[in-house]
Amino acid sequence: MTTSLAHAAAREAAARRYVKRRNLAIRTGSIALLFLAWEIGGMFTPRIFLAPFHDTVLAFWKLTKDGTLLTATANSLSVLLAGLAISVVFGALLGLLMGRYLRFNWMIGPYVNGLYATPTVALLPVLSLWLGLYAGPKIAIVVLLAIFPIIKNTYAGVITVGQELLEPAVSMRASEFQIARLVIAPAIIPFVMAGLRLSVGRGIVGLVVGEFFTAQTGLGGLLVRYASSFRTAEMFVPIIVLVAAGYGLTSLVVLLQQRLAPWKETERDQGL
Amino acid sequence: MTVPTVDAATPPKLAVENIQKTFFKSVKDDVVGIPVLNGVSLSVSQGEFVSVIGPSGCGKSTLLRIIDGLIQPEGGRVLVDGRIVSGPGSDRAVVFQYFGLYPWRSVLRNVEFGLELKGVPAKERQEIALENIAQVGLRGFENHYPHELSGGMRQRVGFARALSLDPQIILMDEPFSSVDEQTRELLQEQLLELWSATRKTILFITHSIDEAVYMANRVVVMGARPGRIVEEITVDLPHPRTSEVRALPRFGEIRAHAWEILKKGIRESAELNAAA
Amino acid sequence: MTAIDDIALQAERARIRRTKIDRVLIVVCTFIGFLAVWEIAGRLSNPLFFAPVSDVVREFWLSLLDPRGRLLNGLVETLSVLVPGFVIASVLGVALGVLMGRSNLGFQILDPYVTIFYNTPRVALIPLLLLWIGVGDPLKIVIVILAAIFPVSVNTMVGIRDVSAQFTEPARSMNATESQLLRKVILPATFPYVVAGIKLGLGRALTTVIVAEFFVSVSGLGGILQATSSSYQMAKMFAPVIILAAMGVAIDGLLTYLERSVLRRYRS
Ligand SMILES: Nc1ncnc2c1ncn2[C@@H]1O[C@H](COP(=O)(O)OP(=O)(O)OP(=O)(O)O)[C@@H](O)[C@H]1O
Ligand SMILES: [Mg+2]
Repeated sequence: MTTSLAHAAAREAAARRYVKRRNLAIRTGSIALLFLAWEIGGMFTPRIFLAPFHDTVLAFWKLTKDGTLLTATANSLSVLLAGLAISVVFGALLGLLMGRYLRFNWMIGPYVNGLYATPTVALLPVLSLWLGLYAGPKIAIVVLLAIFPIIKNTYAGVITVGQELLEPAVSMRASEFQIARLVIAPAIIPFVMAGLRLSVGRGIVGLVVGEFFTAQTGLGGLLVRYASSFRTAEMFVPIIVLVAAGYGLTSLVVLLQQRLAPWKETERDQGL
Repeated sequence: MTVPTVDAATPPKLAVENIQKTFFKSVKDDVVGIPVLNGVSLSVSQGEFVSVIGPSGCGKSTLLRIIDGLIQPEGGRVLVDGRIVSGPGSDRAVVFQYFGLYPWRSVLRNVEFGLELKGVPAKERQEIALENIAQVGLRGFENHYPHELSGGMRQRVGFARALSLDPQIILMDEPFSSVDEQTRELLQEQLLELWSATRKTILFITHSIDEAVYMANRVVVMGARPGRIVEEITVDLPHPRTSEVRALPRFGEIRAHAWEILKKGIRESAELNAAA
Repeated sequence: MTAIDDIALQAERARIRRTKIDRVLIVVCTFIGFLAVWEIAGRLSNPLFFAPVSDVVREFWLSLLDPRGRLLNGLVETLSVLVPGFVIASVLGVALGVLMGRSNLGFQILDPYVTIFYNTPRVALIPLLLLWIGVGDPLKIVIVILAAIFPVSVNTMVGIRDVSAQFTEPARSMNATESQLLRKVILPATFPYVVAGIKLGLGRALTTVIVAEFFVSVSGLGGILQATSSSYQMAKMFAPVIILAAMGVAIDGLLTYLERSVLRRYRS
């Protein structure tokens, strides 16, 4: 009885290992195909359209060695992180006030909802007029894209902090300040983080657009410069770094989310 | 042990006088009032253990909230030691039907919560909390988080939290409802021991007639819609309550009587609703 | 009922009425205050940088009245790439999502790409596509598709995986074929997810098409924005912003309404 059970378990484990390995093989093959097509396509296409993959790898190495890539990445990341930090602080604060004070919500709710639905990149031209050529308009456009998911999620969090969490505190005679600090603040952290996860992708879009159309700095600046001089091998380098940054930051937020709120199943990624 | 006699000169520990409570609901463009409690009066003496039973939705939890001061009634008043209750106070503590724990706090920190709000120094509150965690049988789980505990264990954390505030009156809302049968009997025993050791006044809401009779000096039976007290049954069973008490013929009689009244209340409210 | 109930009911009615009035007052006053600040700031500041709201409204009104005017043409141009691009993206997105949700092989092959593209800021692809496709509508359509397809496909896939077991088992036991299963059970059950994906996708598409027009267009809404701001025509510049905001809000409102009514039906 036990031995046959052990046998079955072993068989099952082997089968699962096999499926896992096979899936990994398919995925690897699938993605390898892309690079292969890129390599071969690059060989038979004029260089001004596409360079073979290995040229991009070489360009990556070269740009890393001469420091161009590092400078650009540092430049972009500092703008992005500044924008995201501002978004988290003010987004959480606004969401908190909107959720806690009905009148405040009536006042600014319509504008928040309106701007969330508006493609705020449309404001970039005027932002660059107002805020000059340095980091100002870039940070501003990152914030304009990134802040709204955080406001909305925090607001949703505050209004779902139900009686189950408030009542015990009130029953134990907590002051308004104690309720804010000890109940509402910890309760909304997962919501702020869920908002932030959506904001990372939007913030990167803002960053890139800002770098395209105001002073051309950072990764976005590199990208347009290489594109306009048809240096297709180099052009992919900033794109790859941007994809990696998006992926890395999002994963970081998810990790933080699990660390800060282990009681909360991570809500399903809603995209964006 | 006998039921404490009420001395006419001293006010009862807890007096509930003619409570009226209506909830309002928006219906289209208007509001309608739903009367939930209609003239509830109750008097509980120091050290008494009173159970409350009644059909689901009859307003038991609402009554408990009014006694705690979490919500205000439209009419009537609540007195503790003769003083009118206008809000939550440190003389009362609630064990909530839904536990009311904070998911980001460990068991220890949840139990400490009330003391922290009161500004009790860290070392002292930890001592008190640990003691009460042990009291409810959760030693070893101090650093667990609520989501890692079973329903019954969470309920006990809520109980430990109420105990650590050392209130004179404990208001318990179906505290053993999410516990399996064996654990439930164990907890009942523990609660009774604690009660006889500390002489606290306890108001105990439950769905189980058996439990209501077994635990209390008095069973208050509520009727549904709008909630009111239909009858108070004095439980003249000996203390301490042990499993032998359950086997007494008197136990069965009282239980049957309580069930009769409860049924009548349910039937009446059904007729009332049908007529309306 | 009793006198107490009656008094309480009256009080509650009065409270709700007061709250409603308060709300209207607050919303209206805030809006007036917002316009007033804009107007005053506009009059006080350098006309090269800002315009008072009265000028903006006048310009907006004039351009709306002019049927061959730049603004309406721009709107038409933008919509003429947004709509077809978006329709294609939705259809392809759902197909891709179904493939990934129903077939493990499909999932394993496509998932790496979806992960990569999902994390690619689609605007970063514009310079590349410019090289490959050149200036023109096809570029904009392609970029709209790239922007919108992944939210749709990911949501569809998640939906299919979520609903599968619960709904398919009864149908299976009634001997449904794979195609019947898909058409009659899985897709309807996945519909709310698809709508949510479309909502996200449209938002992205709108942003991306504006950015593409910053690059290549002189006459689309993004092009007008670029042109008017670089010639410091502040009053004119806000017109496309207003249109875009209105478009965004309208699309969002419509889809939210659809989402809600779908969800309501699915719940009951
Ligand atoms: N905040 C509220 N607003 C409106 N109605 C409420 C509110 N709280 C309770 N009610 C209604 O009042 C009635 C009594 O509720 P209450 O929770 O006190 O019942 P209960 O006797 O504790 O029920 P249960 O046995 O199910 O716990 C119910 O019909 C409930 O729907
Ligand atoms: Mg209840």
